[in-house]
Amino acid sequence: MFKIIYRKLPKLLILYAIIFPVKSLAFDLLINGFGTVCASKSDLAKYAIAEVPMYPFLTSLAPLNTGTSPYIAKYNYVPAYLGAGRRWNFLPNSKFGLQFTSIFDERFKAVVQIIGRAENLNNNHFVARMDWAYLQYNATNDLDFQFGRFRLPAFYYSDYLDVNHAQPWVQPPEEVYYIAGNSFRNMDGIKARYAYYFGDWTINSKLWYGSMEDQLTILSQSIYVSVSDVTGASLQVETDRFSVQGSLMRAIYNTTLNDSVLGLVTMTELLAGGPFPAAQTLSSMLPDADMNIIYLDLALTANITDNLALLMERASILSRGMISTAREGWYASLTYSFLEQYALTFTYGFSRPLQTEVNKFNAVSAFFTSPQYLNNVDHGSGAGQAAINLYQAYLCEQRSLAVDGRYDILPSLSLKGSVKYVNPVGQTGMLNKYIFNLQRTGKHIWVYRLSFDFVF
Amino acid sequence: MAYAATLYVVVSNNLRGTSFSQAEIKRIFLGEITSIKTGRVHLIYPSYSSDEITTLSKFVGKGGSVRDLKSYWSKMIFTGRGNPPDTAETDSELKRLLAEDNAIGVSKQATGMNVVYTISE
Repeated sequence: MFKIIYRKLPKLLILYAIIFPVKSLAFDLLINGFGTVCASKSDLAKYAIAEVPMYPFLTSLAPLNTGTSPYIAKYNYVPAYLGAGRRWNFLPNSKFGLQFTSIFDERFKAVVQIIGRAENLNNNHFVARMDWAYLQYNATNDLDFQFGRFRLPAFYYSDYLDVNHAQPWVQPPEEVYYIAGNSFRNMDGIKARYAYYFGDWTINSKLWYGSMEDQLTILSQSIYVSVSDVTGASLQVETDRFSVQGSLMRAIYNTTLNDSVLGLVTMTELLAGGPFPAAQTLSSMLPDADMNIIYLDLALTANITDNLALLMERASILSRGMISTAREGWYASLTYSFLEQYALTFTYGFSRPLQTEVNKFNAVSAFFTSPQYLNNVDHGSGAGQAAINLYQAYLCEQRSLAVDGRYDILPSLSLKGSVKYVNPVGQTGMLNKYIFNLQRTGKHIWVYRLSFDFVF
Repeated sequence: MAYAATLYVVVSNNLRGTSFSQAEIKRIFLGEITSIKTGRVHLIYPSYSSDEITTLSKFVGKGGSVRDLKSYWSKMIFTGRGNPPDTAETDSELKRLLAEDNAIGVSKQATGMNVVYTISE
């Protein structure tokens, strides 16, 4: 019986659609989508090796003073700048999204968005995940509320960060949009939006509260970071030719990544005969429990002439925690449009650590170069220096120049290309200390991208 | 900016005679007003390859070009703020869509239509 019904199912569905058209249901269902097919390449080396310090006695039940030495494990990886490796690769920066909107009436609608993309910038696993799923209540034309999962509205382009067709660049400037890596894009909670109009001016305000969790991959180790009490607000003042937006957000996060490092510090103190300043300083910084993190963002846009537009944005993350970061980044983009279908965008970007980040590195360096650690734990293995080298990612500073070209083949389809020059200052050009995928070249990097962006 | 053509903002029968300000018309066509007279707005856009869209782009602002308007609607749709408008490729399709209550669109023709606003230089 089941088999008979299954074979007849397509005909039954057609018959159902004729008898019960969609509009007779209690809601309108709209399906929209977007996509980016992006090929990326850089002039980094094909392969690289990271030296990772290993402390085997921390994971065993052996007595403390076994004389066992740490060692350095060689970790092979393919260096890439945000998905752009030595070879042209389509997967890291391509994506496809579908959005389903159910409009119940003028007050209520439900939105679900599913996006398929590479699992992270380090592998070629393409996964589809539900990015958004929320219920929206329109109290008035000017006030609405969203309940559920939605994009974290921290930055100017946050709400439509994945809709590259709506942006002038192939990829949004990472100095701001990857300041916290590729994680924590969505949150679960409630968001309220209110718009106030007077004359040619519009004031848009948002408030949000909720929580989020994400999985980070650090040196092949997966860790979960939970973020709670996410509280934020943004205010935008705009006219047709000008807008200013400011955002502020505060949250508390927890992670257990640093437990093993804390164990190493504690063991070193025991072997050294007691606490010592470098260990105490590092110990105070390690527990990423109930750690505050604050986001600040300021964006300015201006249509200078009918063909010339300016966009500037500055973002900061302030956190004393080890797994998070204390950094600021900003960019300025000038877009020149011509012949109705073409545009060129010139972007200057800058990113640097804040003093808090430097303090973290100094604490790590002081511990791993202390005589108490070197004489009692390191035993000349070089593991301490390898740890310091890894933590140098805290200090990376870079400047970048990019040119993005855009050709609108159709109103819903564009072809873009970009060439980017990244100049690391002092360290590598790697922004995100979570992603150990950049070889320490100490020199400038060229990044090339080509993409088709579309919406439907 | 010069408008490509004079456009008439046309509405369904239940909105005939309703008065709209320029600001309200702009907000409706930008999806910022989603409810009129306690009913959901059924917004109708012209085809993105038509003359009407060029004039409409300049009228609503947000950059003033067709590309800017398309980008704006991409943002509105994919942030969940706006509901995608219907598209009328022809006058007959526009008239069919205007049969629904609270429908509002644009046309180069005023004859036989419920005109509530005129977009012109």
